[in-house]
Amino acid sequence: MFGLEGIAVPLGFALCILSTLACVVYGVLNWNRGHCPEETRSRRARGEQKP
Amino acid sequence: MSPLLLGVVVAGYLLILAGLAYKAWRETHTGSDYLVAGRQSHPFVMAMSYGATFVSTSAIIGFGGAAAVFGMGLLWLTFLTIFVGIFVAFVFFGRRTRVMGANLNAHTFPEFIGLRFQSRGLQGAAGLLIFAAMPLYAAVVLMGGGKFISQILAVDYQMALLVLTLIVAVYVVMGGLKGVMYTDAFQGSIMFAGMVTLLVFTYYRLGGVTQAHERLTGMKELAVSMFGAKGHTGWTSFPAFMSEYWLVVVTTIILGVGIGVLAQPQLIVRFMTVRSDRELNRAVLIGGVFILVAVGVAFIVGPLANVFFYYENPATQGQIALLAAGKQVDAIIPLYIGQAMPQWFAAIFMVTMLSAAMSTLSSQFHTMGTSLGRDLYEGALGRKGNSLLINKVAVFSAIVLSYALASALPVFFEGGTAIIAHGTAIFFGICAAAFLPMYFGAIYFRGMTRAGAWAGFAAGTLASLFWIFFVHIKESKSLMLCKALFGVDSLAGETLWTVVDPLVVALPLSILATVVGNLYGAKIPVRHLAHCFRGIARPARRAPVNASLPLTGGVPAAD
Repeated sequence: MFGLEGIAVPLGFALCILSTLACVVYGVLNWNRGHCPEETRSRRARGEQKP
Repeated sequence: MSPLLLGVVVAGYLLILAGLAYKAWRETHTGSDYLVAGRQSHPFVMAMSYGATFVSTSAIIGFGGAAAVFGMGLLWLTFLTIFVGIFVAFVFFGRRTRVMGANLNAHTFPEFIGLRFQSRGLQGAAGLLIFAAMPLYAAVVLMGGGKFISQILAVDYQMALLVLTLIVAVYVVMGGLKGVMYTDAFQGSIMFAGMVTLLVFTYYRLGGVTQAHERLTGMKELAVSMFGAKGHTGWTSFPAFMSEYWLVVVTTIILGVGIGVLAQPQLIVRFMTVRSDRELNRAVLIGGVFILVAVGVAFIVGPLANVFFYYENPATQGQIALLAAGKQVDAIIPLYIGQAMPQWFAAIFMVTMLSAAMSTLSSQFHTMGTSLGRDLYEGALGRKGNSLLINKVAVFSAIVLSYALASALPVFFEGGTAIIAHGTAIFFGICAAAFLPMYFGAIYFRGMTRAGAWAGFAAGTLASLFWIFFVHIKESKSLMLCKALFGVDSLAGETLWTVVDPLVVALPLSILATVVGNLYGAKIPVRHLAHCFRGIARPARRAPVNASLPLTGGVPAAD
């Protein structure tokens, strides 16, 4: 595969690409997940508790 | 290379650095700003800073040169740095570290551990280990940068070292972690562009991706005839199982760095610099792509340099890369840049290497300084004062110490950046063995005791140091303590244990000690655990927005 020999090196080459793709897919799917809105941050900065 | 072109490129580079340093200085007002960038970092800045700190000159020149010798099997390290160093680190460690760090109001990794286990002693011990071990790592990176500048600009090494130290010192001391991260993001961008250009030119020059690989595969017989006794099977295949080369490639290069990345204090602190999980999620995408290029390119270009020197370059025809570079592993990549790439690229590569060195150095200086100021002086010793000023003075002290070491090292060692790879591997190994079990337990196991944390830390540190001083021949021979005490270079004699990396032995021992130690000692109070783990459970995908990071309270701020 890709002009490489054996199994280990082509597998390593492919895993580099696949793991990067996994990072890209994870980033895209969770792009807006876990956002901490401004009002929550302001409350936290003031040391208040959630309503 | 044209001196005018080089001068313009370097001057432009330094001007941009100065602008970013000024911006960071203007925005740094409190201890929190200085230590964790005010917990307001942009995901791009965070991801690029993480990557640029991780990838130093050693990954490009040192490990790239090693890949020219060992072959493309080192691509497994690229895989691990992406999968473990980015995906696992951000998704499974980063989020929990960010939430718990905010709950505890922690500003450094030792402080995080100390607050989690309610132990100032543990905070001080972790800070002390970082402050004791990291100067060597910082000094060798500084030394690599200084040597590179002195070679390219044909100036005195000591002068190059002083100028490099002063430039980095200004923006680290003045701008704290903001100064470090802004400049890291810029330097990381340069590294990315430089390495992409290098890869494209290399494949273009050698006839395309598959053809370049096939030409390298065609040199298999040559590799076997030269290094076959040590386990070499060709530059596009993996070394023979359990041979000397296999052990070096797998234990030291792939596992040592690939696992060690999870427990690097200067990287862990970056998880605490972002405001919410969203920034970490975005950083996974950016960091994954950056690491593929920054680490992967060196491990592809290094081996392919053999094809260039053997077939394409008239001056070195019939010589593999190692011989063309006069058997200096660290000279392979610079020689390849000088002979295979266009003139203008040498100037780009110069700032790429400067960026790699400076981005790692700035974080090292900051981490060492905060270990001294925040963790030892303020934490373990309990001294109070102006936190911002204390940490600035501590960072300055760490810089002076690293500079003194880097200035003296060439007197004792020759071999240039080979020492960089050495120092890097030693530090990564010690950190993994000393910190990883304790860190993993801290964020995942509520039942972990202070005794368990101490046991893992002590066992990992002592086992690493024993292996470095008395068994792993690359270090034990240079350090000469084993020779002085026992009359031999390594207690393992002529066996293959001499090339097994300390991490392979010390990390399992540290894990075992953590588990056994956990059976003893008092449990952490439930109320404190509830405070530590508040909001740590991952919210549902469509959870309402106020399900994010809970409010902190009860722990005084740094500023």
